[in-house]
This record gives sequence, structure tokens and C-alpha cells, in this order.
Amino acid sequence: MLCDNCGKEPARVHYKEMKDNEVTELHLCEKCALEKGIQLPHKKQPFMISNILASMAEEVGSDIVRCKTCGLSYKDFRECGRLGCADCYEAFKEQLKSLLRRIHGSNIHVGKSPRQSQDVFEKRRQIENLKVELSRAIEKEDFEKAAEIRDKIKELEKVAEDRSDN
Amino acid sequence: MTIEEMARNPSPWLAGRSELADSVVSSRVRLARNIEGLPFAHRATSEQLSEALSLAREAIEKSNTLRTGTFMLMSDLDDLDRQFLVERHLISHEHAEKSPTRAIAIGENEMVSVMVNEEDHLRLQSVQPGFQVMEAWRLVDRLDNEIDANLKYAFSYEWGYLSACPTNTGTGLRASMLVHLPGLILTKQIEKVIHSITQMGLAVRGFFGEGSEVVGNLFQISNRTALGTSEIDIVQSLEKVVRQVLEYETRARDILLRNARFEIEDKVWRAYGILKYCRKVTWKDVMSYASAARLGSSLGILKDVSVSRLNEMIFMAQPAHLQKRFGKRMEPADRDVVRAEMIRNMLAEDEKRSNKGNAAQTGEAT
Ligand SMILES: [Zn+2]
Ligand SMILES: [Zn+2]
Repeated sequence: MLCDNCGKEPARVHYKEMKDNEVTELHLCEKCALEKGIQLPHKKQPFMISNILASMAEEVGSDIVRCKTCGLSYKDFRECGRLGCADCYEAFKEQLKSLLRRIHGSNIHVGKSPRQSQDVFEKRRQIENLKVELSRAIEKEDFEKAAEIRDKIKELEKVAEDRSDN
Repeated sequence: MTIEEMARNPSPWLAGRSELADSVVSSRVRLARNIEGLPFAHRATSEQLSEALSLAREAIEKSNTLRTGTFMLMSDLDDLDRQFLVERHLISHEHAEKSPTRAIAIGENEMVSVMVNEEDHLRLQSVQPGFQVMEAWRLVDRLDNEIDANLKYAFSYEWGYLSACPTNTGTGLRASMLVHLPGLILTKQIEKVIHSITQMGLAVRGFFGEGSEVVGNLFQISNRTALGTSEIDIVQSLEKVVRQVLEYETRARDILLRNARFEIEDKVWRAYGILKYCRKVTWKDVMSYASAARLGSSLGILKDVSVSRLNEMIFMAQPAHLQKRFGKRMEPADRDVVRAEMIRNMLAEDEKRSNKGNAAQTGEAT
């Protein structure tokens, strides 16, 4: 059966609605269904990520990068859309930075964090904020303040590092 | 609790009353979590999956919320039991695989649950009736903290909770509401509304039955991104968009009542008539007729049956639900007959109850 909308692709989504006391059926291909905002049920790879991955395929050089822990290559990842382990995030850090930004519109986590690391997380967030302040102080040539902020950052970094080691 | 015991009744949370339940069937929040030091499920060996399972199980059974719950291994369930859990929205299609390392933990009233070794090591979920996505978040957040006390999650300071699929990385949160939008369908505005929901950064998907068919004018609206926004903000922006959609739905229903009252009444009563008198009916048809009856009930056209009763009907009429309830495997044609009988009985009970209520009222008046 061909798609009711474009008549070119095979219909994969069957959409039923009640109209004028009759149940009418719409048979759509995947593309037209997506355009109408209807997502397919339990697809192995969500559309969004396969589309984004396909559009980023140009960076061929990345393909040979491999995660040392689980052995997954970036090429494997591009094909299946799934990472192999937590360390993959480190191994493909550069590629994932832009991928995460394209998916989420951001690549900085601002939500909750595990209890064990909450302190460290909070410290790192403070550090990020201080760094912004620091560059502002430097811009304004307020070097006294800049030095003050720098000391604060150093102190926080020490605490954060000590904690994350345990 | 066993599957047989569960199958005697619809999900207990369905009976709960809540705001906007006329148009919102349920609210749900899930969190994707992985255990530090183990590969994600699809890349793990069976030993590693067993280890993930026992670590997860220990943490789950120590949690206050799930201490009194039920823990089931997929390999201990037959295909019908697993299908039942899918119909119950407790596990995904992918999870319904006969595997000794896949499991489900179910809490009291089926309001919270955890899938173990689905795409992520843990998928925590909370479901609430009606427009209560914030309450669902509170419950799943609490469970998450309880499990976190006994398990080390894979987490990065920069990117949050690390997930097998980068679309979940960050908060690992997916918040969704299942909404009933017959007014927008009948006034042919649904495409426009779906389009604008998508523009606002959320995802819409139809409610699917056994296959890939959208049934019952039900749509699931959910967030699409999980990184760079806090959990509360994600939940609140979903609430905001759904409220907007419900406003459109209400307006569409007003238009229908004003311009096509007889058509709507006719549609509602016909659907009710079929449900009430049918002798065989498929689940998909139940979904369509129940949708029309649901519209009729919330517009006050149908007084004998409540919206929550129709929600129960939609769940109980599903194939595995029917077979578990009647304690035997049945061919589709036999199921259609048993289904029709169950639905007739449900509606007859409701009518009796509502007649009694009316009689009592008039009795008092005289
Ligand atoms: Zn098409
Ligand atoms: Zn890896």
C-alpha cells in the first residue's frame, strides 16, 4: 500500500479517525507521518538522533576514534545511535559536545545530581559562575577584584577535587 | 502481587480523581539512570547484565517506596503476562523479551515502577491520573533519591546523568501526558495544533494499539530535550503547553455543540449504543466508540457512564487483559465475543447505579 499523502513511499503508519460517523483510515509513509507530527511506535532509533547523526556524517576523521573501556568506535555509534558505556562520553567528548547541543539546544547539565556528588556539583557550578565574573572584572580592568575571584576559584577547585577523589 | 491479581482490576491509579481528568487520561514521568562502572545494557555481557540486575534489585528493595513492591524477572513470565505488562504501561515493547536479566519492580497501586536492563540499567517511572505531572515528578524524584542512596549512578558534572541514547542524557527525564482530543479531530484542527506543539519544542505521538495505528483520539505530549533545563522547568513547560492545548480542545467542543449539536449527539449515542448492545467487538473499535462516549460523558450528553469508567474499559478490553481476566488463552474471534460481554456488563452496572441514584434523589424530593 502506498502513502495516502505523497503516493510514492510505502505506507507504514495507519491512522484512524472518526469523521462524520464513519471511521476513516489514513495510511501514511514514515516521512509524511513525521511531517504531520505523528511519530512511529517503538522504532529502534528515534528519528531525531538518526537525522542529526546523518547530517553530521561529514566529520569522517572521527569515525576511527574508539572508547578504550567498551571498544565502541564513533562509527559504531553513528550507525546504532547508542553509546556503549559512560566512558564513551569522555572518548567522543568533542563530537558529543556539538551533538548534544544540536539535540538539546544546550550541553550543560542544570538539573539534579546524585546525592554523593551534590557537593562537588554545587562547587563546580559556583566555579563556573565565578569564571564569568572573573572575565567581567578583567574586562573592566578591576584587577583587585579579579585577583580576589581567582583566589576563590582556586579554593573551590581544591575542595571539589578532594571530594570527587573519594 | 501476581499478574493474576493485577488482572482482576484496572490499574488502581485510574480510579483516582484529579483536575482536568475529562481530557487528560494520565500523567507520567520517567528517569533514565545507569550504574557507574558497567557498560550500557546493549553492550554488556550476560554476566555484566546479571551484575547490573543484582545491584539494581538490591537498591530497589532497600528503597522505602518499593520495599513492599513486587519484583519480577521477564524470564519468569510467559508471553501473555509480558503482553499484559505492556498493555498496563508498566514495560515497553522492547522490554517484553523473555530474558533472565530484564526485570520490572512495581510499587503499590502501580503508581511507581522501575524497568531494569531496558535501554538503560534503570528506568524509573511514575504515573498519575489526570493532569498531575508535577505530582508524578515528585514521586519519581523521591524514588530516585532512595535508590541513589544505595547505588552509584553514571553521572558527569558537565552532562548530568549519562544515558545509552544521547537524547536522554542530562536529566534523563521524559514527562508526558496522555490527552483526549476528539474536539480538535472533529473540527479538523489537530494537525495545526500538533504543529504548534512541535514548534514549542515538545513532541506529540499518537496512542498506539497493537500495531502502528493511532487509536481513540488519544495523543501523548512530552518534552523532547533533557539537557540544559532543570526537571521542574521541563515539567512546568509541559504543563503550560498542555493547558494551552486543552483550551483549544474546549473551544473546539463549544464550536461543535453550537454548530453541530445533533451530529455530535448522534455520534455519541450511536457509539454508546454499540458498546451497550454489541455481541462482538475488537479492541480498536472499543477505542473509537469509547472515545465518542467519553466526549459525550464529559459534555453531559451521556449521564449513565463516567469518563473514568470509560478509561477503565479501554484498559480492561485489551487482548492480554481479557485473557488474564478470564484465565484462558483465546483466539481473536473468541476474544471479541468475551470483550463485548464484559463491556455490556460494565455499562449495565453503571446504568443500574445511576438509576438507583436518580430514584434516591426523586425519593428525597417527594
Ligand atoms: Zn508519504
Ligand atoms: Zn565506551
